[in-house]
Amino acid sequence: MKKIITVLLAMMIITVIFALAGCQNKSSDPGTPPEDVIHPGVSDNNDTGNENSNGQTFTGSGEMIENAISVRIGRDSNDELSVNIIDNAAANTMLDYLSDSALLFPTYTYDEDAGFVGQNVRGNYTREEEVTVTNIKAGELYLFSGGQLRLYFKDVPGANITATPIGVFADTSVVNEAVTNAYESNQGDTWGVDVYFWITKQIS
Amino acid sequence: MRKYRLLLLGTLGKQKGGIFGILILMMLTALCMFSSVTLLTSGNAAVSIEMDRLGFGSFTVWVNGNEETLAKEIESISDVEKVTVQPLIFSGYRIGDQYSDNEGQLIVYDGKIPYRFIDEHGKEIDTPVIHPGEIYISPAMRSSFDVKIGDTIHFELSRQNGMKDFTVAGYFADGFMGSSMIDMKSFLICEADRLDALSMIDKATEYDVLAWRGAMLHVFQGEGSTLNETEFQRLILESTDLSLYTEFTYQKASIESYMLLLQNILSGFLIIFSAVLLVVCLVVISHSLSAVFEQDRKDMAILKTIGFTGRKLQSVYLVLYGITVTLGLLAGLLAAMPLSHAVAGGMVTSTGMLIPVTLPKGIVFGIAAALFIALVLFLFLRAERVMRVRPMQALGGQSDTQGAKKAGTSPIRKKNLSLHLAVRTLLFRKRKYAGLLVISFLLTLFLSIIGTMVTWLGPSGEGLMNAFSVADHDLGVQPFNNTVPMDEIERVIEWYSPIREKYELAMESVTVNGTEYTANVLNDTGYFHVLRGKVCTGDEVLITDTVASEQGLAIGDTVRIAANGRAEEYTVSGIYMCANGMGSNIGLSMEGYSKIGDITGYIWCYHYILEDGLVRDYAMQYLQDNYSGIDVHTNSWSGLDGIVMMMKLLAIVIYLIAAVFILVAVALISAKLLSAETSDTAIYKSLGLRGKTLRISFALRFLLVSAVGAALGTLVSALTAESMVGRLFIMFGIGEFSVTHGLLGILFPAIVVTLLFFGFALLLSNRIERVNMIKLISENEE
Repeated sequence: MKKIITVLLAMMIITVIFALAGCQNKSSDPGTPPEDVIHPGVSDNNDTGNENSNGQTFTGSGEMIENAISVRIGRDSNDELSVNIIDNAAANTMLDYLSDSALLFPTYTYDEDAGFVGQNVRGNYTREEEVTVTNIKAGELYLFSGGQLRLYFKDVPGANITATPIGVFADTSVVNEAVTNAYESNQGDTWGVDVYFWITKQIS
Repeated sequence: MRKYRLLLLGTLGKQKGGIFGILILMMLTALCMFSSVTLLTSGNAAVSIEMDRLGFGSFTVWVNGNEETLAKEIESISDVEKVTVQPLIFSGYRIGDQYSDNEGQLIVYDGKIPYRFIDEHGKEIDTPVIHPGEIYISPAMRSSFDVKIGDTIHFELSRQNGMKDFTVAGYFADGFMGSSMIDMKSFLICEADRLDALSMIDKATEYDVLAWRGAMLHVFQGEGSTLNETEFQRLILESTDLSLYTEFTYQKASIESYMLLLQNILSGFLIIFSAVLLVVCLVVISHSLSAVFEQDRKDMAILKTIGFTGRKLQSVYLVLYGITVTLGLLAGLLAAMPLSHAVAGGMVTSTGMLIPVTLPKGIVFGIAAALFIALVLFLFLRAERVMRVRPMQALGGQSDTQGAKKAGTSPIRKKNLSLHLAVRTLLFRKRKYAGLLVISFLLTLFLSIIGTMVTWLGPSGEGLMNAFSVADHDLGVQPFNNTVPMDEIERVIEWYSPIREKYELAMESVTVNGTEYTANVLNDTGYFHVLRGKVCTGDEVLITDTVASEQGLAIGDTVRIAANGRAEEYTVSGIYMCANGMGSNIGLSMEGYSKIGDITGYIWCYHYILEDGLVRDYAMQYLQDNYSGIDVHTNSWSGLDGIVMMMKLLAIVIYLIAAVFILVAVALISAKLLSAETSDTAIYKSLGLRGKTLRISFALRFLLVSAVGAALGTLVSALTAESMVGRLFIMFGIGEFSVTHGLLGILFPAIVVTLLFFGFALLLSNRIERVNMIKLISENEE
């Protein structure tokens, strides 16, 4: 019988210990991250490119990804235009924001003289892949250092810009007319948007 | 009459232990019931009165500008009685190392709105004069920020030299958002500081400015208006430009629910618990009466032969027990007021208000009268047994139940003698233990339900975190401009713990068929907690059960969702769970929201699920200390610690009350059993059994019976607890309730209840060892 009482007492003690153990959930303080985590380039100059949250390198091959996205220019447009995207860090980051459902993307800057429509895009992008472009062709997309994404709808010879190339429309010949028509039909927009774009990611 | 009084006093003297035990049980039950009812009604009435006194409208809109024009525009609508404007400044703030999750609201105190002020001990004080540099805060911030009088609160109005510091001078009762359940907080400052803050905001560049002007528009519905609350709000939103300037909108009922969420949950559980205790009381009274009748059968027979009628004898017990339960009810009622005062005072740091406790006389009288009638009726029926005592048979040594079917017995073996004796006695007198079984069943069932809730809540409130958040996450970082180095921030987070998953969330104000809701927009809709139907695509929307109920919507219906002056039609693809805003929210995909809202702004918050979620607080602290232009938060909120603490405290209190009940019940029942089994004990002792063996055997009977009751309670809890609690939680916008228990978690209440029965029975059976064997036999012969 003593055994029974001992077992019962043991059960009671174990129960209390387990109940108390459930309250202990605080992790110990890991301290603060070292300098090479915050500024890896300072201590290790061999690092190239940015890493995303999964540790993947975004640098990319620099080659063209055919038909990566499709774009409709204008809020009421039904014409899907294919866009080829350059395989680099900035373009890959942008692709991460897109999905296979059409996303309505407003642009608030229409510059007839400079030949582009632009809009600041969120996200932090590496500037390591910036290039200087002297002559721009209609249908080309560039990301500028302030985070502005521009679609040039005109040829701009002697532009001499410094930006990261993002992609180019497969059929560049239709871009000028499509952007101009969308801009004109969008006058008086509630939000003051110049041109709307519907963007759909075509690659997984 | 003199004989009757003597009989009454004699019975009282004989039963004083039992009577005292029942008095204690009734008092505890009444205390639990009346204090929880008092807290529930006082709190709800006080918040409603305070909101009216401080000028909360039929609904109130927090706007970010243009308030005077909007007020005139709204007032021109015929259903509106009036609109009052209460200017404020929205600004983020820091207390010590802790940053606010939401913008604070700096309000000028000029005496026009009669705020109440509270001292450190929760007592109301005279209206103070607020001097420059001083600030008054909600007492709830003491629990969420551990802030005291004399501490400094830093408001970040702009990036360049835009920090404005205030010293906490005292506390005020914030009737609109004082509760620790509401993260948004108001602060009272003087006019000079307001002007200074506005000057700093005006001087800051568009890039640097962090704070902004705003106002509360209290919109009052006209008496002649026939619209309901939702229709009235819809009318205002559709007829004016209000939606273009709205930060958020709350109806009076919503704020009342938020303010008293914690208190209502606490009171609700205690009311249910007191109902369980009442049933336990009835079982104990019933058992006690049965044992008394059994014990006093011969005395009753003698009394009947000398002229006492059965009805008269019945009335003795009726009066004795009736007075006892009435005294218990009264004692509980008297103790309920100071207890309610103490609890309300202790909850100032949770409710943010000093709740004036007043006894709801009508309700309390009604409950007391109903309980009294029910108890007297119960006693009357139980005491009917006196009528069946037949003098000749009783005096002749025959039982009234003679001829009843003989119970089965169990053989006695030397090995585990105590256990065999216990089983044998149980089988022989199983009816005497039915009460124990019922008590054990009820207490285990209720403790299991409480355990289910505490398990769901988790050690840090993870259950509530996930229920209230749109999607699971450990850490959220929202950048406000493109200078924020998100790659660097992610490296820092990775250093604390590898990031397992990442997605983005925006929370924007929209209207659904004209009623304002928060739209939770995800770039990956797979993270929504979908209960029924499917996740939404670009043309679809997810709604909560609350929205479905409010709008009368079902899966497949079409709704018109508008934001910023633009509207689109969406199909309801499913029902999802997010208790934020009491469930008044909808879920959209980024593609879906892009049709009515600008997705290119800094509205997105990056949510991270970490491999080691426990380091989230350290990562958050580091990011808050070292990066500007971001808002960092975890899946928690300031009121959560209070809820977790309250639920754990509630569980402990309920376990303690249950332990007291078990102690009293075991004391009463064991006393009767020991007394009834005097002869058996004497015989066993004469056969050479030791007192210790008999004691253990006696306690084992309690253990065996309570184990069966506890097992039944655990089984019923396993089958029904989730659905019962789930139904309760739907009221708070939590659409899904499921718990994964460990084996110990399931068995814990049953083990505790069983061991308490065993332990108390062992403790209270010491008289078996003390009493002399010869005396036992001689007592029996008498």
